Amino acid sequence: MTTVVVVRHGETDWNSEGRMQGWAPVPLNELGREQAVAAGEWLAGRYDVDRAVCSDLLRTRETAARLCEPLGLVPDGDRVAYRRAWRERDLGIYQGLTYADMYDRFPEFGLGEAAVEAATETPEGGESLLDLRDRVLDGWADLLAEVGDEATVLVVTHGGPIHFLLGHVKGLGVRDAFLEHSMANCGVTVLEHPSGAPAAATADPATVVRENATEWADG
Amino acid sequence: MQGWAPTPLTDRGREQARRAGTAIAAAYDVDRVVASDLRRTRETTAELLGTLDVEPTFDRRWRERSFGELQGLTVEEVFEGHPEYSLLHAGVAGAQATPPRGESLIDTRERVVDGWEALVAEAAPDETVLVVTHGGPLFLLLAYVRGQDFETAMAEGWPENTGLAEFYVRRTEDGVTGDVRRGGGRLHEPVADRDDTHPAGREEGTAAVTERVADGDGVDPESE
Repeated sequence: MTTVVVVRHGETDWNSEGRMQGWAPVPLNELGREQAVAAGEWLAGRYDVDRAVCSDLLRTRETAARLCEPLGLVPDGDRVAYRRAWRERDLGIYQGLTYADMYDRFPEFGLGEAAVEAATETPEGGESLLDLRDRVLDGWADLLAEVGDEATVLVVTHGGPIHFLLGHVKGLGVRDAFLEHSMANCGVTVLEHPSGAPAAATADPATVVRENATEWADG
Repeated sequence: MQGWAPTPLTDRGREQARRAGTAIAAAYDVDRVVASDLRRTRETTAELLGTLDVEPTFDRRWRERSFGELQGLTVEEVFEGHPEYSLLHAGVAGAQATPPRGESLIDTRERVVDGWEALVAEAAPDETVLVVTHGGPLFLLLAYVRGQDFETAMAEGWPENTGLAEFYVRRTEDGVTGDVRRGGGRLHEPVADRDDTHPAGREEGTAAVTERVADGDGVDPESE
């Protein structure tokens, strides 16, 4: 069995302002750095992590550096990889707008619905939701192929990729995967994938053990 | 840095554009309107044309510089966090530096000068064309027409929102020459100080360029 511990990055100022980041190189803010340290300590008491695969954007690199230390991983070492497959959706020209701006554009929908309406388009220079899902599921299949069957792997990524990973495992469509999940900063989601089973596009046998856990904040 | 983000005008930006439109209608007899196709210049154009009976055409070449993956960062974050893009820090290399999937200043200038040359080439004699664009293209066009390098141009300052520059173009047998008659200041009374700042750095109106195109003998009709 492969255990995959998936963590969303810590808070940034753009998160607290409700601005959509896409691939913008936005750093963690002070709260985000504290969240990553606390989540790392919490994980270290529960998981024996063999390696990590992280989105290569700034906010996930900064989060990974803080998660790795208590887990005994070296952020620049050869057990930690940075992959574009785990990046957030590329928002193209929408990068930097607020959710409220999107709501202005699609006032006939509620906030979440407006996000979906916006999401069904491919923003100029960016990715559609389907593009994102395909990229993340390729990353998921690559990850399962390259780690050992008994490995425990940390994945440090973003809200969008986690929504689609959960949607894939639960067999949800794009719209439900996008609307029915919510990830806190440094929320921890754990998936278990049986040895030898395929990371199939349908009927992935992985199970969800934790979803968006934030108990690290309670201590 | 908004780049190509479809940010709307603020209420103050709309008011600025309405005032600029009134001032332009009083000062110029506009024959044709060309505008950047981004949202903020489309909205500015609609407000400007409240007093002018001209159908605008939209042209990508008058867009703001694309900052690619740096779009949405503040000016300080871009130029202090990434000094390789700064003319002050990096000089010529700063003008050539291309943000990931964005445009360098040189790329942007090439595109804007393309737009300018096409506009001049297709202009009728004595036509007055209103161009609605952004700070970057107007800065670059002023420098280009004045024959200034970036360092000299930076010292002239950055065009203000709904500032207006006027270019007078002569076509003679020897080619095309352009003069800058107004450098980008406002034609209208300023609108009260901003109270509606936006975290994404919403623009308040956008620089407008009026250029006048003359033909033939190179005589300035206004001096006759």
